[in-house]
Order: sequence, then structure tokens, then C-alpha cells
Amino acid sequence: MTDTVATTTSPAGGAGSTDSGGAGSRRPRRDRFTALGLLPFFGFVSLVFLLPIAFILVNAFRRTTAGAVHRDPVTQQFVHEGGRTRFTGANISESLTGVYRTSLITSVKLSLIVAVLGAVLGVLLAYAVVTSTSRLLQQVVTAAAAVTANFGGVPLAFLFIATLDANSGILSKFMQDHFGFSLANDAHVQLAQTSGLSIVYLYFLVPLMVLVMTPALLGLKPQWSEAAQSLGATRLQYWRHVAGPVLLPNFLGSLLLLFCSSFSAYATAYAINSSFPLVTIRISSVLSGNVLAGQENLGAALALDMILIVLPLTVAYQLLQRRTSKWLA
Amino acid sequence: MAGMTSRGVKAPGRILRRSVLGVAAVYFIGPLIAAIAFTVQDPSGGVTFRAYRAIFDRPSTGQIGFTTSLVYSLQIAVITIVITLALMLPTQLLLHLRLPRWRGLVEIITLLPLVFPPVVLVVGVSDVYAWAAPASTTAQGQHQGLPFLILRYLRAEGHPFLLALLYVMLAMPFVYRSLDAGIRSIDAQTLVEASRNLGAGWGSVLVRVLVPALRTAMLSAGFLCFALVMGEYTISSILLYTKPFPVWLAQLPTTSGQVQAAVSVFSLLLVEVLLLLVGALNWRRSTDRRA
Amino acid sequence: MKGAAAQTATGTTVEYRDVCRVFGSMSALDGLNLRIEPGELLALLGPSGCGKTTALRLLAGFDQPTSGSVLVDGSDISRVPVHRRDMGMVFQSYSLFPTMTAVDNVAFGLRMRGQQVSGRRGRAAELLDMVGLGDHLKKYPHQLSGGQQQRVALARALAVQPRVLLLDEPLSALDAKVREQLRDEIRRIQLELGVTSVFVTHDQEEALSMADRVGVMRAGRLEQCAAPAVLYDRPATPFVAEFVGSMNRLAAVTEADGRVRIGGQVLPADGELPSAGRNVTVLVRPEATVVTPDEAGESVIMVATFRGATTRLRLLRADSTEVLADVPSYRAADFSPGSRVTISMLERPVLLAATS
Repeated sequence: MTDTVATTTSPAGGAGSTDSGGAGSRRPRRDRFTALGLLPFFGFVSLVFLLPIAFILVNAFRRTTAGAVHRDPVTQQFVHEGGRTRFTGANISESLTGVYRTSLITSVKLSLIVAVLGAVLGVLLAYAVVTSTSRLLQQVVTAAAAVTANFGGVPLAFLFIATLDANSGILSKFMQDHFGFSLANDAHVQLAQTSGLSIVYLYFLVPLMVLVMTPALLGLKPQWSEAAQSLGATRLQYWRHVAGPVLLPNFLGSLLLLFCSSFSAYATAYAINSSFPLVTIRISSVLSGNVLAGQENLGAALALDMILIVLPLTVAYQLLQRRTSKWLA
Repeated sequence: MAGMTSRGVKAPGRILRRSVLGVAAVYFIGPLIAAIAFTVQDPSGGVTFRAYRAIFDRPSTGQIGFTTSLVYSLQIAVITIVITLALMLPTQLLLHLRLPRWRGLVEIITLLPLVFPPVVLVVGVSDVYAWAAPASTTAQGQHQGLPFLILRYLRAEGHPFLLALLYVMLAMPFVYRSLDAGIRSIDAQTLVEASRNLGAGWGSVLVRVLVPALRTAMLSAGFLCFALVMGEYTISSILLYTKPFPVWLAQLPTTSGQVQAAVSVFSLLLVEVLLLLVGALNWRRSTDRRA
Repeated sequence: MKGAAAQTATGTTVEYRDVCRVFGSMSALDGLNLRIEPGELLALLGPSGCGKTTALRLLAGFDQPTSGSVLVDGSDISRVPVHRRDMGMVFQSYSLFPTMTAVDNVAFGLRMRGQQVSGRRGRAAELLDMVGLGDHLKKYPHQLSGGQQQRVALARALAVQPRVLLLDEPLSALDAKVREQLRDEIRRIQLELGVTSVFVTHDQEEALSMADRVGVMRAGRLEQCAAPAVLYDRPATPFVAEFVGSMNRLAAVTEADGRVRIGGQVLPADGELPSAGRNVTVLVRPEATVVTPDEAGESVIMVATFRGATTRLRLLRADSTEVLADVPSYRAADFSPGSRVTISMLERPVLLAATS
């Protein structure tokens, strides 16, 4: 999964050519030629990725008003005849009001909750696995984590519907029939609401945390613990003064990763409750034409909102990872 | 590890660890068991495999069946893997061997799909299509330019290359990392120098030396792509495709959700089996080498 | 140095009594009996797997003996947890806390004892000064060289005025030049503070040059524990003889009254001798092997290796055995490869090799 951006210097330094043994004067020309070899990559990324993003950035600020409007029967998009298209911040401001505002807030709230929960539980689980003496357990968990971390989406949703659905879920019925305990009313756990969704999200967030934190935990040198003990530190003091500070950047960075991951999630929530107020679900609703005329670009505006939230967090994440690599190297 | 060695301190540590692992096991395996129980329960109180049989039922008119959908996604997955490897492998080798200075930039670019999630990307794609073809069939023949034709071709349901291209982008962070780790571990520089020294041309070097050496990394990258494509719902559903496997699954007409749960369980088991296969293949290859 | 007087007055005794440590079917320590005197620097020397590190870790508390006891100042410490044993330990590498500066690293032990910030920082600075790093207080471990890191580690271990100083191959990961420098410094500081120290190493040169006494270990047992010179001149067992320094193995025949005949010479032999007339192998040091240029000599010089003050000659004898001989380098010109020589022994007792 994502971790450090490599900050180590490349072994070959700048000396690209190895076999030609060419004179120094030939190297610049070679580099220029070889750089062309990256054209496919940059071309691909530009067309498939940067182009759409650019469109979002522009469209978020465009709005067409006046003129005649009708819905295209095939694509369900609004078609304007005549009318003016101008640049305005109206899309953005509208994306921050009403239902859109609610969806943004709900998304942030949900992501924050599961990020913190997932981070804490994930670290505990990672620690339990790492300190276990059974190699088999460690390998099994690592493999299982790799699968489960990617397992999100629709199948996961159905797994939990089968378990926690208020009416037909196995666990819900079991609790109701045998203990008279209603998950929905007594435990306030409703699958289709934040509480239930959190439980579902943890299913792929905790493994993600385990995958990311396990190398960090393994990077804790046993000498640190032993040295600390020999200097009079209890276990608690060791964690508080030595291991904690070392792991903190990693932990925080992973937390950010969990946040971004759950903030961007769509399929799982949609499959469980397609009208749950998440910004991702709201965007798809806009794209399927569920807006007033003139507001078509609200989707782009919401997308921009998402970008503006996730981007600084990603930058912070990279900075934190850079810190860690210095210590755990 | 941070081993506590005085007598009497290990015991509570072990209990705590066991309970954490126990809770985790319940949480992760529980829903699976519940889902299986859900899928085999019979209203009359017995066990039935009706739901699993129903997976393979002939679909009613207008619908497609399980195998059709699965094969559809498989095809997209294969195309995605091919494009990904064809694009990333030479690029990364080039970076590693000749252009190390560009590595930082490329690495940052490969992280972009994580910053701009699928939902955002699909908004952009929609916008691109809207711009290229503001009105569809009722247009006055304008906007039939090349961009529009290309875009329309890519998007066609019969050959959804658009999806494959987007998936290549989504998989990029993980593929890059996987191949990068592989290239670093085989010390590509030395391999290339050695084979060039022995007279191999660049083609041979690539095909006969580097690719075999990178088989594990490529396999792992391929598997990542596969898992991604087989599970990708956001982009394909928002772009109104109905055939890809996850979309088909979500749209299954159902009264009790049993069939859907059955397919979910089934697909999870499929993924597990595949993972085990890949792992076993890997393990076999590494033991073969020692023989 | 504050505390030095206190140390020498009440130096700590360490004793291993019949200590055994068994891991499953493998015996890492097999009845270790050793007493370390107050203020002494004792080196534990031996090949890997001999149990020296295990012995050290038992003392530190990271491991427990399967049987036997470890005593510090007369009391059994097996029930005392590591963090209460009051011992300073210097590890081979990577032991500095990465998120702390050198000063904070050194002050860590004092912090754990509840000392106030200014007091412990001051003492830490003193110690860093003592190891020559007074200008590097605010540096982080990753900004320091290997040698510097080990100096900080030493200062950190000493900051808490430990009863015993434990060193687990602290120089093994360092470059040769740095190793030599640090070797002398560690010894100097240890003498100055008078702290009882146990030093584990596989490098005999290190052990011989630093320690008051050296304990040579093999397969979990102590072969001999004596001052370096004694170890070298009067090795108690053939293993010690061959492990410490180099030894030539020569064929000899036993004579009566505790002597052996080697070639044309008859020399006294140490230890128990089988009855006269038996074939035995004796051990002779290269510096006790005398080489004389002789055109009619039976032996040929194969290789001459310049080693500074002495030159080591590798000689091939008439019976195809090889012998090492050391000659002062200023006479090396007389001994060029290919020339013939005669070999004889100095008139000193020889040691019998173990019968296989």
C-alpha cells in the first residue's frame, strides 16, 4: 500500500548510461533522447487523468443561465440552447449549502470516526500479530489482511446486510430471538446509518492499518526496548518515551490514509443505503441528472470540494512518512 | 520484539494478545459465517442451496447471467493488465536504468489516483464526454469530429476500453510500487550490464533477462489489477454500464438478498482461492530454483 | 569525575554459580562458574555460539538461567526485573533512541529516575564531554557517525552510575581505526571510574589489549579465565592455545621424564604426557619458532607477509607440513620466498595438542 515516497538518493546518481562508456559530451544528448521514452507514460496520464481533472477544475466554476433548456432523452443531461455561460463561484457556494453541505459534513464525520477507530484498533491488532510467536499466524494474517483490505465495495455490503440488516440479518435476528435485544433500538446500531456503516468500513480499514503499521512495528529495534529497560524504564515508560514518538508519524500518517480512503469510498455505502447522505453518493446523484437546471456543474463543484479536503491531507501524509523513514531506516 | 523478560510480566501480555486476536477473528470471520448461514437458510427452517444454484440460473429477458457478467469483467481485467504492464514495465525500467532523476516526479504522479478518488475521476470523465458531445443524436451533425468518435468508440459497451484505461490509472499506485520493489530487488542495473556485456541486444535483454526476473512482481501487479477490476463499482455504475460483475451483482433483482449474498460469498471464496494459487505458484517457483 | 571515588570504594562483585541455560535441546551455557572482582574489566572471548552473549544477557536480565544463579554483591538477582538491576549496557549497534538528541539520550536513565530537567541535562553534558562529544549535544543519532554513536551509548550507560557496565561487542560494527581509538577510550574511562565491567567480544586482540582478565569460552563452558599474558603464555587447554594467537602443530615423540623430541630437539612439555615412545602433536608459537637461513636447509619459505613490526613466514617442511614463524621485519631481507632455511624451537616448554 502507499507508504514512503523514496527520499534516498538513487544509487546510480545521475550517471544514466552504463555500457556506452561515452564521452561526457555525449551524455546530454542521450538523456534527451531517452527522456522521450517517458512520453507514453506522461501522455497516458495526461489524457486519461489530467484531462478529466482539468475539466473538473474549469467546470466547477462555469454556469450556464438563461436560454432554453431541455433534457436530453438519452443521456439525461441538460441541454442549453442559447443562454450564457460564465465563470462564477456560484457552484462552489451552492455545493456548501443545503443537502450538499449535509453530505459533506456526514462524509467528514463518518470518515473521521472510522479513521480514528480503525487506526487504534488496527495498531492494536498489528501489535498483537507482530508480538506473536507463531510464524503461521503472522503469515496468515498478512495474507488475509491483503485480501480484506481490497475487499470493499459491493460484496462486502452484502455480507453485512446478511449479518446486520434490521429485519433479516442473521445477527440481528439472533439477538432478537434469543436475547430480546434489538440491535437497532437497544444498541443504536443501524446498518443504514453512520453507526452501522462505520462497522462495515472498519472491515477493510483495519486490515489496511495492519498492513501499513506492521512494517513500522517490525522496524522497532529490540535494542531500543532493551536499552530503555537497562536504563530503568518500565514497559509503559518505554512506549511513552521511546517507541511512541518513533511510531507517531507513521500512526498519524496511516490515520490520514484511512480518512482519505473512507472519504472516497462509494460502492459499499451505496449498496447498503443508496440515499445515505455521503458526498460521493451525492455526486453520483448529480451526475445522473438529479439537479435543477443550471446546476449541472455542481458535481464538479462537489468534486472540487473533495479534492480540496483530501489534497492537504495527502501532502501532510507524505511529510509524515518522510520523517519516519529517517528513524526507522 | 519489545520483549519483557522478567518473570510474571509475560503472562498478562499473552492473555491480552490472545483476546485481541480472538475479537479480530470473530469480527472478520463472523460476517462471513453469518452470510453463509443467511444464504443457506430455508424459510421452513432447513438448509438449502437454492441461492447458490440461483446464481447460475438462466436470466430473465433483458438481464444477463452470472457467467456472462463474470466473463465480461474478466475480459476487461485482462485488457487492463496488458495495458498496465505494457505501459509501466518499460517506463519503470527506463526510469530505473537510465533516468533516475525523473523517479521522484513519476512516483508523485502515480500517487495522484489516491488523491483524486474514482468518484472525482468519473465526474471529470463525464465532463469530458459532455464537452465532446454536448448533444447526442439530435445534434445537427456538428461535433462529429475525431475526438468525439474516438471517445464514443472507447465507451461502447461491447468493447469498454474506456473502463480499462481508467482502471489502469486507478491501479497505478499499487502497480508502480509492486514493480518498483521487484526491479530494485533484482538489481536490474547489474543484470543489464552483465547481459549486454555478453552481447545481448536490448530486445533480448528485455524479453529474456528482465521479464523472467520480474515475473513475481509482474504477477503481483497483475493480481492487484485483477482484484481492482473485479471489484470496481463506482466508475462503471456511474457511467451507466450494466454488465460488469459488481454492477450486475448490485442490480440483481431479489426479494430477500439471499442470491446477492450468495454471489458475494462465492466471489470472496474465488478471490481467496486465486490468492492461494498465486501464492502456491510463487512458493513452487522459489523452491524449484533451489532444487 | 564525580562518583569515581564512590565507585572504587564500593565496587561491585559479580558471580556466576553453576549457571546453565538450555534452549530446547541446545545448551547455550553448561555450568558457568565465574567470579568478577570489583572494578575489574573482564572480557568474555570466544567463537560465535560459545555462550558469551548469553552469559551477558543473563546478567543484564534479558534472559533467565535454567539452573544456577547469578549473584551481584552476593545476592541472587534472578527475580529482579531488568529495569531495576542498575546496570548500564552498551549494545553492538542501533541502540540510541532515534527521536532524541544525544543529550536527551544520555539523560534518559536519569529521567527515568525522576531527576529534573536541568540537573540531568547538565550531567549528560558532562558525560558527553568526557567521551569527547561536547560539541555534539544537540545532534540526533542519524547525524552521528558509528563511532560517535557508540560514544553516546557509552555515556548513556554510565550516566546512571551503574553497578556493572555491560558491553556487548560494542566495537564490532565499527571501522578498524575507529575501533582502536574507542578501545583505548573505553578502557581509560572504565579505569577512571573504577566500574566493574563485562565486555563480550570475538576479537582476541580487543580482549587481550583491554581486559584485566579474559574468560575464553567454548560451547557453553569456560575454558580458562586469566590475565591476557597468562592466557597467551600458559594456555590451560589446547583450544585456548589455538584460539588466542596462532599456533604451529608439529609432530613429536614422547620421551621419558616429561619431554618430547621434535626433530632434533628435545624440549620439556606442559601437562600430562603419555608414556615414552608415543607419537604426539605439540603446539608451538610462531615467535618461538627460530628460523635460520641455510642453503642446505630442509624447509622452504613459501610466503613472507609483512605485518608491521614482525614479518610472518609460512614455511614448508620436508614432510610437507606447514609452519608459521615470526621474524622481526628489519631482518626480513634475509628471508625471501623460495630460500631454504632450518627450523628450530626456542628452549621453552611446549604444549600438547588434544588427542583427536
